[in-house]
Parts: sequence; C-alpha cells; structure tokens
Amino acid sequence: MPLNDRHDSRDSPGLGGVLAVHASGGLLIHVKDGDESVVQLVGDLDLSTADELRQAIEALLARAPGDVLVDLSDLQFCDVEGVRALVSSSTLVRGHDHSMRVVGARASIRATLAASFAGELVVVESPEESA
Amino acid sequence: MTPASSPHPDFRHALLVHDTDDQLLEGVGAFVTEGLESGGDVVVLSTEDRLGPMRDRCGTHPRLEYGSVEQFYRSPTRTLFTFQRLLAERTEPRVLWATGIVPLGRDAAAQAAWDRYESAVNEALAGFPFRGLCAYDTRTRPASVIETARATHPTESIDQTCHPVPEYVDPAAFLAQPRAGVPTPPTSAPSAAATLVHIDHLPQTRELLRASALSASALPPLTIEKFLVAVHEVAGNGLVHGAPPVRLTLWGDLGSLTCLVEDCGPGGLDPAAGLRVPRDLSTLGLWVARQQVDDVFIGTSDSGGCRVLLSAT
Repeated sequence: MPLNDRHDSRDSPGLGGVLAVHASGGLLIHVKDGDESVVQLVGDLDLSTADELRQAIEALLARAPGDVLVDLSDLQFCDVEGVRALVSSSTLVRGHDHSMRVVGARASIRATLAASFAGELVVVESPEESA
Repeated sequence: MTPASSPHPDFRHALLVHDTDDQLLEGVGAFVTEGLESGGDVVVLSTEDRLGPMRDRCGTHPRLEYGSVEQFYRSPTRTLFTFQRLLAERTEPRVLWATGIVPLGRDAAAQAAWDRYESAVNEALAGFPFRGLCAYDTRTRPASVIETARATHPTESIDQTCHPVPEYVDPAAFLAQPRAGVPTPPTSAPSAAATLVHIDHLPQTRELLRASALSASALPPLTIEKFLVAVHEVAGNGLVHGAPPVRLTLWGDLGSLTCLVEDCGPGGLDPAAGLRVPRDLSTLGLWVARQQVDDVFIGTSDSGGCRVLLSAT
C-alpha cells in the first residue's frame, strides 16, 4: 500500500523531459528521453517498487522508442524482484529491436545480479566498479 | 515446500576412501579413464604435493584439466555455488567428471561446514550431468569424518566399482542430525531486533540492521550489504509466503553477523530448499540469499512458522 502520493505522468504524454514516480519504500525514476534514453534509478528497487521500473520502461518505449541506458549509480538497494524487473525490462526493450545497457551498479548489486545469473546484463563502465 | 525432485540421470557423487597414495592414484586414474573414454570432460583437483604423481598417472588429454585443491576449496558455500555456476553455464552436452579432496576442517565447526557442503552437493548439483569423486585419506581423516562422509555420499568407489552406500541420508535428513552442526540461535543480547508486518517495513528494517551491523562488526561493508540482501529475501518470504508478523533478531560481533528470521506462517519449509538452481520463481529469493552469506539454516519456530538463521563471517 503506497504511503506517499503517486504522480503518474503517463496521462501527460507531452512531458518528454522527466517522469518522476514516487512509491512507498523509496524508488525515484528519472527519465530523459533521447536517441538513447536514460533511466536513472534512485533509492531502492525491490518487491515494493519493481513494477514501477517495468511501467516506466513500457511508458518510455511507447513514447520514445529507442535504446535505453539504465543508470544504477544512485540505486542503494536491489533485491531479486528488482533483478527480475531489470531482466524483463531488458527483454522488453530488445523485443522492440533496441538495446538496454545497465551501468553504475555498486558492488553489492552486481553480486545480486551475478547470483541471479543476470550478471551479463551489467556493463562495467569504470575501474571502481570492478573493485 | 516439496522435497527434491529426482537427480539428473548422469549425476553421481561418490566417495573414495583410501589408506595409501597408491590407492588414491588407482582410484583417481580409473575415474579419469572412465570419464575420458565415455566422452566426458574431466577435472582433477589435487593438493600441490600430489599434482606431480597425479599427472604421471593420468597423463594429458584435451578433455582433461588439473587444478589445485588449495585454490578451489576455500569456503564451503562459495565452493558449492562455484561448482553449480560452472555446471549451469556449461554449453557442452558432455558430462563433467570432477575429482577432488574436500579439506579437513580446522575445528569441529569448520568440519561440520564441509560435511554440510558434501551433503548439499546431492541437492545443489543433482540437476546436472555431473560425476563427482571425493577422496578421503584414512591416514589424515579421523574415523568420524570418514563415517560422516558415508552419510553424505550416495555411492562409494571400492576397487574401481561404485556401490550404493547404505549409511547415506538425503540432505534434509543430514541437516537434522547433530553432527551436521546446525547451530541454535545465540543466547547473548542481540544488537538489533525488529518486527515487520508488511513488505513496506523492509527498507526501514534494512536501515536499522545496516547501522547496527556497521557499528557492531568489523566485517567489510560489501559483506554487510550482501548479508542484508539475504535477510531481506528471507524476511520478504516470511511476509509473503509465511505470514506476518515476522521477527528479525541480529547479533553482530567483530567478525560475524547472525540474523534470525521467524514468521507466523504454517512453516514446513524443506531445510534443503533454495540449494537447487530454481526452475520457477518460488525459491529464487532463497537461492540468491544462500549465495550472499556463509550459511542459511531453515527450521521451525516455537509457533510452528518458519525459522531461518543466516550467518556471515
């Protein structure tokens, strides 16, 4: 049950700049449309918030189909439901003949991805990430 | 939770008990020959001091590899899931044959951890075309260790023939035995405690546990974060598949973290659940949780619900 108000901008399709969705438990999704749209996740991607990611990706593909970069550098926590949402989002993007890159995952999130056999989803972008 | 389904038809987990180096070389040599002749890929894990004689006995072959026991068998849980990952990622349709020497524990607790590893192989690796042969040297292993090895290996190689082991017990049954060393929760004062009734309580609970773990233990932050992921998955299961309230209790000391998670559901979770690569989503969280920590022990609480003890060092 969400404790905060939900702001869903799917009913304002002209808002191509930023889509911010508040959900209980703390996931913020910032989306910047482009040739490679950037989806920035902030906070916690878990069983309470995983569907928000799926919905954001679906809305993005409907609004601005193209390659997607998912930036996890401000994502504090990701559980198995979060991994499943990342994997299904990737599958959805690829089903639209585009690519999805996932960058910026901290070590603990990379460990969860690897344990879920989803390690290859993540691109290691910087030396710190492979530490 | 239903018990394990039947193993892959090509799964074997055999014991080789030997009194001399010659017996070891004979047993491993026969294993390697059978593996190669049947078209399998073979890995021989040997101690550094025996690598030479092993190579002399088994030779070279494109499908034969040698490795170091000291490098491979570092920690029971990590070794188990490394093997599992190796098997799951294989694209070759060939059977993987592997022989090695499980370390002797430096104390009773460490030995029990390796014994549990051997037992867990029968669940975690059973879904794969895998033939394992574990060598136990009677000169360096106490009789109790050999005896326990008979409880954790379904077959034994005697004079190069495999025989069923009458003393073998399945992983869930092994964990119920005292020699499996399943711990009881600490009785000392906890570092933190929390009661959750909804999944929305998980983030604040993680904050609490993180702060407590960071102040109570000297474990690296990554170890703590991985521990929190495991606790989160187990607590989430307790809320979703068990029933609220779910009680978490954390004990942290300098070198370890222990967390007890108890739910008020119907219980009945198999103690060996979450060891197999999941086919469906029902054990995904538990399987991932097991890979993030050293141990996950599943039992029943006084109220009949699930009781899970997680530990990391």
